[in-house]
Amino acid sequence: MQERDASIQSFYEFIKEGKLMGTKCLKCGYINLPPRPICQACGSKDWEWFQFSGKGKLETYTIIHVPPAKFKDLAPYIVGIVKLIEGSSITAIIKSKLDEVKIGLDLIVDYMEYKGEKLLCFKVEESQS
Amino acid sequence: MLNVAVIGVGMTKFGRHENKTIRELWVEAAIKAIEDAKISLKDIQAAFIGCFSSEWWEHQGHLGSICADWLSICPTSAVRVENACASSGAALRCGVLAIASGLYDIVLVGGVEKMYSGPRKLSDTAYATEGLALASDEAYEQAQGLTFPGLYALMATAHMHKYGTKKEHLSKIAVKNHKNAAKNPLAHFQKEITLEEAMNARMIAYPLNLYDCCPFSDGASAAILCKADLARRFTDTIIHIIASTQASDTIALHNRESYVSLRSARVAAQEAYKMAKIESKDIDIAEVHDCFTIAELIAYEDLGFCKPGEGGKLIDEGETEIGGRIPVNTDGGLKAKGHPVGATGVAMIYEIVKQLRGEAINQVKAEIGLAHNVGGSGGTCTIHILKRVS
Repeated sequence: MQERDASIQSFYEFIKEGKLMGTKCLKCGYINLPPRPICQACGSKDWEWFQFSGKGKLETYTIIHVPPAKFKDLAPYIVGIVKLIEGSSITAIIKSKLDEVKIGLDLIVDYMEYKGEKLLCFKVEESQS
Repeated sequence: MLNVAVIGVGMTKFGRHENKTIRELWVEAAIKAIEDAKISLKDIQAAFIGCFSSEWWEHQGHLGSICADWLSICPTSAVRVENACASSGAALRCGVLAIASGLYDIVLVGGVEKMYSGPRKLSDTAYATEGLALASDEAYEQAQGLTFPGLYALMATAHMHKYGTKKEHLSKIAVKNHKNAAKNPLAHFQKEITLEEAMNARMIAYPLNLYDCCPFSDGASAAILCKADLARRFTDTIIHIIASTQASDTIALHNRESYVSLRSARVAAQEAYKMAKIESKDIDIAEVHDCFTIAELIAYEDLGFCKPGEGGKLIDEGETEIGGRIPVNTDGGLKAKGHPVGATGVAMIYEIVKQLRGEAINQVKAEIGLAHNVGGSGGTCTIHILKRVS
């Protein structure tokens, strides 16, 4: 029995703790992100928590010029889909200069305090060279 | 075989109807369809009405009964169907299934949406934008600052990267659809635009600018379906629905294998071609869901009008223009005819029926037509194929 449900609430509780968590299927090994109680790949209901390294690449992106009211102060800002090195993908705000963003960019998970919330985002990972 | 015919169609003008509420728009479209079919109100045995979010824009739920009530067809069964922007494609499919089941002979289907300020509630662009976002994943897309245009922008960026599609290809789709709408008196915008205007409009969600996005519109659409063997009682031009399919996909884009194609559209199209016993090359005319220009380009590929990645080439060669190999959105599409979300799916059927009857504004030679209605960013897709059989 897991301490926390594979719920939306659990995902955001982990984000508050600075952890990007998904659920790993105990039957087929598929890593579900966001966490799900039923495996997207095989339908199994047996899972365990899985913590991502936070490293990944930018798969696609947009620059939001007309934002929802809540995000007005940030616009224009980048939202992208990040493919983590473990294989799962997630949507998040990307911290990058607008003219430097491109598909394939190496990213690492980051968090941003915004209007009393801790938002999941990713920042550009400086190359190790 | 489905054994379903379309014997009547009707729609309101799409655009701003500041003095009308949802039920009033619905009644206008429904009465037009009933008159077109030359039936009376008492002939209707069931109704299915697509509407995305009357709650958001008018604080009105329980829409099935409201629509039956104001049309004065109570106690006829009336169901509201919601599949985001594919609500009336899904309502149409419910009507098809209802007749195919043998339970009913004559069914009313349609859709309605009110997105501008009306006499009962105020709305503006910001309010409408947030309303449209209801079709995306609240917990994992909206919460990350993603907007509805942003979702299709993610697809556009990915398509450009993978296939070398250019912004110009997208803008050419906007120019084509505005040109088609220019003569359509029911269209929201009856104005041609230049490629230069389309390329240089205000940015909404890079790489999509204002002219890549359909407008918010008010409007309603309706159609009368009947058991095919009864159709000749009502009309000499018999139009059958030879395929009706629907597929789903994950609500969030990030849980899909591809961002450059909609699995729901591919699956629904493949099933539809199989059901109709035809191939994509047999389609003479198509109405596709161009909520954003990139959506039309991806639809060309998902429906098999060209190979994956060659949507840009298809528009470059003019094949989807009137006079081309497969004219697409001859009425102006969502882009210029307008997109009252819940009304769109059956408004596509309106245009296909007009074309197959030879009564269209931008008439082309057509015997078989296809309607592709997408909900959200592809979480739903319905496909209907219509054929003139006499």
